[in-house]
Amino acid sequence: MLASRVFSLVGRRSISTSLCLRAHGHGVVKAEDYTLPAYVDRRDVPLPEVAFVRDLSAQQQALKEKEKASWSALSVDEKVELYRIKFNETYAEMNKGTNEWKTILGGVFFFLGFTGIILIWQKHFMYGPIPHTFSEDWLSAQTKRMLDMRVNPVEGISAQWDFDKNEWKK
Amino acid sequence: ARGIQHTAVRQAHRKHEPTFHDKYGTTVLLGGVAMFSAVWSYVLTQLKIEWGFSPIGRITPSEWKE
Repeated sequence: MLASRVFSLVGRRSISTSLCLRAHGHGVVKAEDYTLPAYVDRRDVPLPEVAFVRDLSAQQQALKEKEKASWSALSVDEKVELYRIKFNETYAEMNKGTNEWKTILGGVFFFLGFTGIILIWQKHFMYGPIPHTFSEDWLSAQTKRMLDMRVNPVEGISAQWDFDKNEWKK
Repeated sequence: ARGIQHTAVRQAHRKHEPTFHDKYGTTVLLGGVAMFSAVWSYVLTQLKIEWGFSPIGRITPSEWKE
């Protein structure tokens, strides 16, 4: 009655739109899935916020009813089914390794091999002939001259040559 | 009948489809290694690229004075 008094005093337009909407049940925004607590399979979250299966089938609902009674009445299969309703993967399934490393390593080797193909292309199409100073004759003469000069005698090339036996040190 | 249904649900849950890695992982690995070794053995030996290896232990010195 008080409300109708206010009504007549203030006029029809004063009732806010939101109040009208709420009266018809449109006032509340539907909660998006991502805003609700989520299930997660993680080693460090042993009891997730919600059960895995959200909408139970008739069978599962009957099982949930049976769960309310004594648990010793449940068969092993029923206990497993209850577990699977609550959880997605077991810890063993969660922690199981995969064969992903094979694909990764295979891919790595493949692309390294592709790099080699690039080198082949370069040698064939791009590089010119190597300088004559890399021929066998030149290298031998060059090496002898370096040894005669005693280049790097402490730890380098002359240190590796046995001047008495005239051969490389073993 | 109900037991069979239960079993079916369980098996559908437990038996996860083999992934790409399960099916082809070994093949990809071996194929990649084979391709890699083939290409690089060719590059290192047949291609006549000057790698600049040390003469130590490799080159026999020969007379340079004329």
